[in-house]
Amino acid sequence: MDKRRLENKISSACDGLAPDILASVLSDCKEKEGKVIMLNEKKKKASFVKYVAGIAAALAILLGGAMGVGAYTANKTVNSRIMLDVNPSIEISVNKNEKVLGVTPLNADAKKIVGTMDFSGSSLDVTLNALIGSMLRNGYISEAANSILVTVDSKDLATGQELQSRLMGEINSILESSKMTGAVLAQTVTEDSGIKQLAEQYAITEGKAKLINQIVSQNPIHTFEELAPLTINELNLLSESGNVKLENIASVGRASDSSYIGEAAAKSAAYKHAGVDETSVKLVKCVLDWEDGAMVYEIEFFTDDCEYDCDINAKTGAVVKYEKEQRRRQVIISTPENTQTPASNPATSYIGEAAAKSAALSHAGVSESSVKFVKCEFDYENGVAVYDIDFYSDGYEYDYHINATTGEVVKHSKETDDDYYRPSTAPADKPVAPVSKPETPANPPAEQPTETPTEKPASSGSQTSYISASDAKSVAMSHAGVSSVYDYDCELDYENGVAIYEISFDSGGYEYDYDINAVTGAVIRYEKDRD
Amino acid sequence: MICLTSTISGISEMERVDRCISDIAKNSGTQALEELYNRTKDAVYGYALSILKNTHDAEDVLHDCYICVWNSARDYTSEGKPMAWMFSIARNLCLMRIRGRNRFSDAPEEDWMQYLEANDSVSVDDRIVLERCLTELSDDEREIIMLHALTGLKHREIAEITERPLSTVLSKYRRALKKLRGLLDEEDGNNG
Repeated sequence: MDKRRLENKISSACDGLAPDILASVLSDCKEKEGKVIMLNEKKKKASFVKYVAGIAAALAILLGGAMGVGAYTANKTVNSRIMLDVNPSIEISVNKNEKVLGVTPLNADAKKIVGTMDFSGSSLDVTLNALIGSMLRNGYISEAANSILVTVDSKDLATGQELQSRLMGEINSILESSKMTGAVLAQTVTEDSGIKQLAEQYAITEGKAKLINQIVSQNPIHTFEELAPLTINELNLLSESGNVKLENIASVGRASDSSYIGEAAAKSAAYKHAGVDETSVKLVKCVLDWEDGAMVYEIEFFTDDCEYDCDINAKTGAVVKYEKEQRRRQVIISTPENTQTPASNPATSYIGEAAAKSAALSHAGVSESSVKFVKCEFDYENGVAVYDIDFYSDGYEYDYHINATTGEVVKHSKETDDDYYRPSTAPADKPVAPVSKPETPANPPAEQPTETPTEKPASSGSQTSYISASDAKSVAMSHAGVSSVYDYDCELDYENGVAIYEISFDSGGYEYDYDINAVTGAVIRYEKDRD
Repeated sequence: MICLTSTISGISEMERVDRCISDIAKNSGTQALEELYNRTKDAVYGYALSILKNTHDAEDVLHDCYICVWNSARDYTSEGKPMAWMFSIARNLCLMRIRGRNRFSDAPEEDWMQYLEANDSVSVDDRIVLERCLTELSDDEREIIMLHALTGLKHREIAEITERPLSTVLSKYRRALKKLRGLLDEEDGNNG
């Protein structure tokens, strides 16, 4: 059994071996991310002090008012608008001293939260605490739906950004004090008439309208109307799973998906519905998405025979969409005389395996006699019938996809074959680099490694081309003074920017290791040891 | 078969893995981590199991390895050697676990054999090769051959990860191959 086959067997034996713990990994990653915020003790303490100070300030104002002492004249000019979205959408307007001028609930849920509370004259911190506290108590914010969007529109951008950053920390601290791991999105906006119109139309804040606009513009399968009723947590999850890059939106924490069944359960439901065993399945995709008014796990997978596309309701686990498609794949046993057309498409005429191989060889510029074929399979690629052909030649591994109808090369690659070993010592079609002859073949090389190349580098122009692996092997064998080797191994590698062939083999009871300059063919280093 | 060296559409598997780690570093959601996990989990788990020989420990290392990748991706410098980076992490986690065992005299049961036998998707031939690898090779030989077979890492990279001289890696690799071939030929002879 050759080395490649042996290693392939080890690798194949590990295929599908790992238990499916992805859900646990993802969950722990989220948790760790939350912990980063929670460990921010300084911020937490500062916030608590601020909170107490806020209440004290509010009390002082009330007290002052009651005693009729204060000549307190409130500034009635709106300096900043702060918009909060969870599902309740609320707008708070404050003056330049961050005293609340008004709190406007924008939808029915927000009215429930605000209720009869009057925040006029209160500090922004106290108002924020009261509103977030109410959302927590009423279950709008929970471990299962932990995302909040805070949007600031200020008279000047710098003030707005400073306020945004401060509020983000403030909200996080409030959530932490309730032992919650939150996901806070924050942005600073300037007035935009288009966004304002959308916000009014759908009874949401301009901040949420802007967020939805970003998602829709990057993921056009969704519409604004479709996403407007979603909570911020759902929108946050959609952005994450849809790889939407939210521009100018700061983000801390991860949206919770704990109210959903989880990817592992969704996959199991899909496999069960398809009647396939998990071990026979290759998963292509499993992402959360919004389909027909519900969050779903979109799952794509395939088996040897079929491709499956399945949507699983993320809350109930019910199958809401299911598609199955035959892969139409047939393997043809690779024999030189085998040119039969695949049985699955009897009406179509294909060029046959031999012609496909010829097309590949001709493109590669190698002759059939110098080639060892390892694979010739009939397959479909993007709906096109192809022959998938792998072969080795002169130290290279070639992979070709030949159009089975036209004979055109659809795809090809050529890589150095590290394991290539050809008993013949005469490279036929490659220029051989200067080879240093062994000083005395009967006298094996000294056992100490040498750093001195035995030959000056051959000419190498600006265009670097490497000698073949078999040429490098010839150099090493010639240097060692041996004519037959076994357990041969060769790898192309780079050391200090120099391409080298690392060659090792056994011969005559000794183990040999060589580094051969891949451009010049010079021996850079060698070792010889008793086997 | 785990195939971390193949080339598809001009992008090698190694480049894809490299890209995943870079994407994780950009903090662009868990999708990249998920892709990385799906592409590399069998290699990481196979390697951990071959060192620890206990399925629970190997599972813990698998889990912790991706958490470490998630937390450390920003420190990763892309030099086209993502597997070397990932397997250095996996190796360290395995060594920490072994040290823990030594400290608490807590060597868990070697339950890998039953686990391999329960994996129906693997052919008997392939499983026998892996079993021989786990039972007959020395720890060093086994680690080197597993790294070479599962990751496509070069001998030089394996030497760096395992902190051994290149010549030792090469020598142990060859000896491991020779041993395995001998054993398998012997079995073939007995069966034939």
